[in-house]
Amino acid sequence: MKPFIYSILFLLSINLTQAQREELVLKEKFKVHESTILNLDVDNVTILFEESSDDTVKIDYSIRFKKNSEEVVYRVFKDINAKVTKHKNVINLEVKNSMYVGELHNLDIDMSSFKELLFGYVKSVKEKKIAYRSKDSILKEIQVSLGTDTQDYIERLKKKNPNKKYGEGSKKFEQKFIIHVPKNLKIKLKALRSRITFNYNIDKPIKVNAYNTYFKLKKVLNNKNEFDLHMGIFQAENIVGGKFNFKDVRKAVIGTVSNAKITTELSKVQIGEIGKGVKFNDFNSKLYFYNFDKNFKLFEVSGDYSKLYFFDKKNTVTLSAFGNTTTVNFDDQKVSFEPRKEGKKYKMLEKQVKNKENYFGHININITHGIIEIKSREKEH
Amino acid sequence: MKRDIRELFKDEEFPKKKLPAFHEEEFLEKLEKLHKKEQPKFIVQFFKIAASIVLMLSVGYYFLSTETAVNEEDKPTLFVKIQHIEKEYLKNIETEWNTFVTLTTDRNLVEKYKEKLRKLDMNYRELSKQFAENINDINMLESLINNLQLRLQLIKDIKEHLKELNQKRTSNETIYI
Repeated sequence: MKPFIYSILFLLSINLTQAQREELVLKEKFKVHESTILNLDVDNVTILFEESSDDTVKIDYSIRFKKNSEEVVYRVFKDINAKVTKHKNVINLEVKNSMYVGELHNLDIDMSSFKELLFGYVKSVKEKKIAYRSKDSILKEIQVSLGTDTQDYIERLKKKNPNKKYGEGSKKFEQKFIIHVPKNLKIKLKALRSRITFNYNIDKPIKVNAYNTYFKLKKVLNNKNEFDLHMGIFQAENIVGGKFNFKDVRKAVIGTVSNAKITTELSKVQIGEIGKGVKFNDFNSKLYFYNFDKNFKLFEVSGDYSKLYFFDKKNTVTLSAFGNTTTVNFDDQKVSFEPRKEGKKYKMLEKQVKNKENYFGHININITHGIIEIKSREKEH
Repeated sequence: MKRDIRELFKDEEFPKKKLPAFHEEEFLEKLEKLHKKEQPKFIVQFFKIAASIVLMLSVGYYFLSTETAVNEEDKPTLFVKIQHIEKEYLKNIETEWNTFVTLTTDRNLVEKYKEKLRKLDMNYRELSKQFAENINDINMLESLINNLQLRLQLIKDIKEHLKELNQKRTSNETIYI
């Protein structure tokens, strides 16, 4: 009987080897110390950063091919360009892949299912109303999100209908790129059309400059942090300190934020909870501030053509708005404020709290051509 | 018994043969005859090569035309649909744009949006090239649709924003709530 079982196992292993194949692109290990900097310049990659258990940086990059096709393997390796060097205290990792290798759009369904779902997705976006969200619901969204709203919508449908078949995506391979990093390592990152996930809390300075890149982060804690993002997606559970610049970032979701300066342009930012020392400077974005920490004290927002959403269900914040040419919607009441000569700003609105014992802090708004939505009766979405 | 081969003919002379008169003409005549005999062989050889080339071209043409036929088959299902979607979106974008510019006197705002749309269009062209190379790539298709959707949404959003701002003004004094 035994030889028979071995034969079956042997045949199965041959089939599996033929069906899947993994090819190594880069594998390196560097010993580092506190002054070492990891400098990354990457295009069209998917990187997962994990915390290293020792004082080494381990780079492990391979491609997993779903089917063993020489043609695909050849095409992928022709389009991959990865190298790593170490010079004094700097580890330089350069990955210049083509868009063919990139995984920015990574739907795992076939074409006919996609076409079928597309209509439903567009309808769901249209029907989405502005509703209050708790900090926990924002955090949960960040944790489970796959990136784009389309991906998340499809994933939700798959979970709802586990017996329905959606087919397979057209991607014939996937990147498996893990970098193990000691927590005390400084990181400089330049990214293009990539997916970057940090699976540990970043507490040493990180400097990021990215174009159309999807970020998924846990805690980002340092006053020297700098994020300069153009397009793409930004999801972070907790931000403490640093400067953030979002331009055309249509999906930025942050669990909680404190002591940070955020500059936005034509972006959509949702924040679960505002802590102390947060400043926003915006042009023409949609900014959603769902909750405020008990000790946020002062929150400053300035904007031009901005649409600001504040949710104050328990009447815990005071608010004053300076500027002109702005509309304020307080629940069902609407007030529009006129422009003044030479664009002179004036105090348009002041909101007070009924019970001073239940006071969290003050919101100071400086705005022109803006819309301010204050919701005190919104139910959770 | 080792011998140096150079030593072998050192002392001997080669037999000398006298060449007949007109040997040169005779040689040329023989050469011409030989050439005439080989001519049909060359023609056969030529035809063989030509036939191979024709065969290769035919096979090549067959495969290329089959591949083109496959692409042509795909075209109506994808390319044409994409072109249709693209046409619809661009038409809507243009309509929304025309309304948007009538709603504002802020030239900076218009210029800013013009620049945004120009950049997105450049991005779309780049994606289209990639899509043409990988016609069955669902992800490329998604990014193309996302690009068009984003452009339309941008103008729709600012248009709605301006419409709300342009409503009849009611106050120029501080309101307390």
